[in-house]
Amino acid sequence: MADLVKLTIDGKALEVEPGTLVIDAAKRVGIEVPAFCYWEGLSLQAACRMCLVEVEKAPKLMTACTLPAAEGMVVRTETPQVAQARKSTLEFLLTNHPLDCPVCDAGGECELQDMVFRYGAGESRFQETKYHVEEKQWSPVVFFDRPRCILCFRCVRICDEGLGVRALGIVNRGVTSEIAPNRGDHLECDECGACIDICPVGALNSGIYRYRTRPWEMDHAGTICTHCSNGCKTTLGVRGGTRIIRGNNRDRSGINGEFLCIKGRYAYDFYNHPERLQSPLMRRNGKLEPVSWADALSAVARRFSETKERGGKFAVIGSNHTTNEENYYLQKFARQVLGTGNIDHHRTGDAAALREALQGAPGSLATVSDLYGRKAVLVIGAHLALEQPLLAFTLRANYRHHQARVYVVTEGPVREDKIAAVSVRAERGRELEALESLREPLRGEPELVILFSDAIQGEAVGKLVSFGRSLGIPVQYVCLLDYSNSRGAVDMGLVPGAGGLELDEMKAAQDIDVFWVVGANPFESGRPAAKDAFLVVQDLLPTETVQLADVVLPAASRYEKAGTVTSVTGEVQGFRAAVQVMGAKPDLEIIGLIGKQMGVAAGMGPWSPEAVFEEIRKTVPGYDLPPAVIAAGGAAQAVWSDGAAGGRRRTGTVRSDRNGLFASGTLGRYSKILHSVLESRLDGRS
Amino acid sequence: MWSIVKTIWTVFLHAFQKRITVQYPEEGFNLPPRYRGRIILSRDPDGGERCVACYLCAVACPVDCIALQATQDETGRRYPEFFRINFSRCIFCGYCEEACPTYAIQLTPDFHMSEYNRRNLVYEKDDLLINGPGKYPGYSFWQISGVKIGGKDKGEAEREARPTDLQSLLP
Repeated sequence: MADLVKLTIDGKALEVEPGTLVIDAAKRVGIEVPAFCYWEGLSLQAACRMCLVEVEKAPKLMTACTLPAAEGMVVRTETPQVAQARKSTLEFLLTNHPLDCPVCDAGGECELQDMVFRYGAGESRFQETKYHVEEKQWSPVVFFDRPRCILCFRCVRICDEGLGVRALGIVNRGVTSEIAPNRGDHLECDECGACIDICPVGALNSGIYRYRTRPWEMDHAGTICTHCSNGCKTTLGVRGGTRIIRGNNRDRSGINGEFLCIKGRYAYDFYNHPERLQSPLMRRNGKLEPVSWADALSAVARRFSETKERGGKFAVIGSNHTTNEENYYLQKFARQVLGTGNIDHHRTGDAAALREALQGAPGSLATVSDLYGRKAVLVIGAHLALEQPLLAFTLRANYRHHQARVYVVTEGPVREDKIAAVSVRAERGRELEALESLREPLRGEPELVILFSDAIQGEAVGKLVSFGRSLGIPVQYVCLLDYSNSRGAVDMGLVPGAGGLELDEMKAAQDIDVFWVVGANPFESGRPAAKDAFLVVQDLLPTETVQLADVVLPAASRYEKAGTVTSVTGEVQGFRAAVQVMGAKPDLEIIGLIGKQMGVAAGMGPWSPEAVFEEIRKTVPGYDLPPAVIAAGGAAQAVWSDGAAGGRRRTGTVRSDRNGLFASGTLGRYSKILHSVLESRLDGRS
Repeated sequence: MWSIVKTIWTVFLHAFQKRITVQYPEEGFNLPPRYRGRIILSRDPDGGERCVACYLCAVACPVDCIALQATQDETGRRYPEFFRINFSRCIFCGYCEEACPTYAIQLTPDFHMSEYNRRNLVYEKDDLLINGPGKYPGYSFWQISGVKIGGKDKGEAEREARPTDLQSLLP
């Protein structure tokens, strides 16, 4: 590493790596240099002129956002000259800015407002008429009001560089410049809303949040997105404890930083879908009728005890959406109380096979930050940008910042081709053969992260790992999964034990007496073969499985409960309840109450998320994670230790739903916002 | 001794002065216009609601007696869906008036607000709205703001140019 550079900022001496920008160096010693156009990680623009600072021996003020720190540099950020320059800059920015603050949605979290408050220029000397343009709606979620725009081009850069979508551009010049969407009058993009979030003023605003409330009127609850497996933290703005107003991640906590896709930002609206289940239902005379919790729970408990006594056959189907605590408690309940090994969930990637293949090589699982830092990445069988948005975003950032070499082996063209060093097309099932052509270039890499989808499953996973070992370089793996806690479901043991039935076998078995489905929709396309089986379903919404049920227990959604989830990279993150919905209970509590009715609660232990997580830390290998990190909103990776991977495997039972950006399994069907955008109707995948 | 005589003399003189006390409630009296009494919501000179539901009064209120919900009409005009002041909590400090960016919320010289039922002290928007502009006769926020609303297109506010059609070659 090159020698550190010594410089002084406002009298504070510091040392930074060569090439560090003065604005970043200042941040390190706690000095904020205001800037509208500068955004960490994006290309430099120097358009706003707010970050002007005084540098000793420089004839004029310099823009801190483009000035690399140099040896012996003396910088002053708060001199009268600097303040005067910033005030004048603001005055210019305000010449065409309308006086909309009382009705503008950015009011209260507007960077321009904050700066004007700090540096003055509240009175305008501009006497001429203001230039004006009509407000435009580009999509159901994106509105653009040109007069408010200060032309910082943050939105253009985040869309181009960050998301790789290039949906925004600049048209015209001078005072008439404006941001333009890619389809002339509307947007056709990922609808991720990053441009709205990054806009320092209210020029880009969200159709969902528009004219609803003010930032200070909301409570903010950090939760983990319930849709895909990437485990993005989404901070929900809540009013009155019952209504979610918006989702974003402005504080950049969580593994995703500021990134969110449309699902994380907008698709929380299933929680108040008109069809949301808010009362237990029981089948009477062939129809599901609302009953009280006491009746429903005692009916379930009676049936469970009865079936257990006469040695009946249970089938327990867990979820890949529920929390680790719920999954753990469910499998413990099934194994200890019901005495069955027929436990499974919809497996969307063969994490169990990877775990087995990696025996003896702990620490071979990549985290999101590994994906950002490693020199080479290999993607097999997945359209990352659509199916794993955060991983794709991180990979693009790695390519942009560190010139990472990306290798792609997929069936058809994918967006990662644009950044790929080598793209190989391989038919489904023949990915491993195609990989051989990459052996030589991969051997030349210093390190590698391999991401593989359900295209590699069963024995192929073992072959992939031995391919990785044969390269002779450090290799890390990510087994790509579909849903928010797919990885957690495997780790917590929602997999069939010895002699237990797998999901497909359960559906096909004739002799099941009781089905217990927690947060899953296994009977989406067809009834179970066991026609007379008693079907207990815990779910949020009237899915196909709920329609077949004998007893339905309304469950709380992710945003209504506390717990932890494990992301696709094995990073465990905690969250707390954001809202409350009347009538629904968290699955953990429902399972606990069933246990109480059956009189087995004492043996199962308390059903509070904290207590169950304590137990998970003690009993589940790899989950002995620091509770303080989880409680503080951080992420800790659960590392598979050596030992029995648990559960038997068979190829063919692992099937990814290949959800694109606008689909999220059964849950996604109930999000109105997700279906309101044009792109969701163009084709199911992009 | 002397002080007693002086006191009696002063009292005697005051007996012939003009009375300050008023026979309230039989007699009324004039309060200064800036007296901080009952809160009202005023209207624009053209009769529309002035309040734009910016929530600044609610956040400025030290006793949290103001509740509202922002919404918009079909033309894009932002207004409060409901606006509620709980006068049993209100301390008439006037912070809401100070915070209001559109002169919508104003305090008036009226304090005759006693009720037998506590609930009647919760005033809804209909109770608060008056039929005029209050203390600021000429002011209209929507004539200054750049936002388009019904009856006022983009660029029709004060000191604003009409939107330019950049595709057109005509002057």
